[in-house]
Amino acid sequence: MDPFSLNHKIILVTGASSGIGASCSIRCSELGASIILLGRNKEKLIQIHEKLAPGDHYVLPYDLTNLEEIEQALEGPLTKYGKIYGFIHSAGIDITLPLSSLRKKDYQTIFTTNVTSGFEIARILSKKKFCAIDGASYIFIALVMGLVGEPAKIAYSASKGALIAGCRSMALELASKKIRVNCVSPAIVRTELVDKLFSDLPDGAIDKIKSLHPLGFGTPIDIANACVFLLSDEAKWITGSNMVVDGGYTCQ
Amino acid sequence: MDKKEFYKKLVEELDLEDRDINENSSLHLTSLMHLSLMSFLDEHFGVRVKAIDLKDIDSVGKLITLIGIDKFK
Repeated sequence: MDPFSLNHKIILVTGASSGIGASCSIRCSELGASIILLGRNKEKLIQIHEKLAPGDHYVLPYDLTNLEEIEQALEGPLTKYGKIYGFIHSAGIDITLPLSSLRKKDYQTIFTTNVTSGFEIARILSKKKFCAIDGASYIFIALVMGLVGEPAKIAYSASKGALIAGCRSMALELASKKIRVNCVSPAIVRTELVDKLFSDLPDGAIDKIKSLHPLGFGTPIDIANACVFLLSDEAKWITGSNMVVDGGYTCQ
Repeated sequence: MDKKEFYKKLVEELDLEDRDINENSSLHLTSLMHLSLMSFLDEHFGVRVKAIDLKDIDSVGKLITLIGIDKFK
């Protein structure tokens, strides 16, 4: 039997319509899981749904900036599946602005999507009625910027650091329910969004960024594989950790 | 926005040492200043520029040209 099998497990993935979230969804489905794909754009979610391995999956279009109706939005899949085994919070937005340009609304916007919405979903899923009896595994996609600094990333890195810190306390709180809570912290991963950002950079800038990654840039599947491990029973003694998957970025 | 107001806001946004600027004033923009300017131009003029567009901006006059003279009263 595949030690990383996710057979018969239900996994909710936010930010599932692209990048790391999409890759996690596809990889988990290949290992036998049923996926609840959550994201803002229904058409993109349907495109990812078509890439999943055959299974009983669910498309849930929802904008996580609306914190008030998350519980209501989850009613459909929770009614359908009952117990949820896994949760990957990959939804996130980036604001690249120096301190002098950041305003209160920027911090609010970034924290709502990157942190609060994920913790709110964890609150709902960890209720006894939705939590699988043999436990569950929650993963928050943080970032190396939650550990090390970078100019103009104050709001973004604060939100990712908040995920890493919050995850540890959540792990302690949910351990009695056999729910494991971990973070995965990537460095730069070549997603469509990153490629678009790179296209705006002046000559030489990409090579300079790449040189900070001893193993080169990552790919979404590198992060998906780390998530698979943390979701699997092979990681049953791991909780409250932050798995750094960064091609050596933070070694320096 | 008229130019006088623009100069005042630009000094504030970039925290320029020279508080009394005009079209002929030179600008020494860092990459962080580029990011500030991108946000500033979008917010005040509805002009979206990329960092690469700001690469050769070394004076207030060139910045005004980039924004578009028609955007000023």
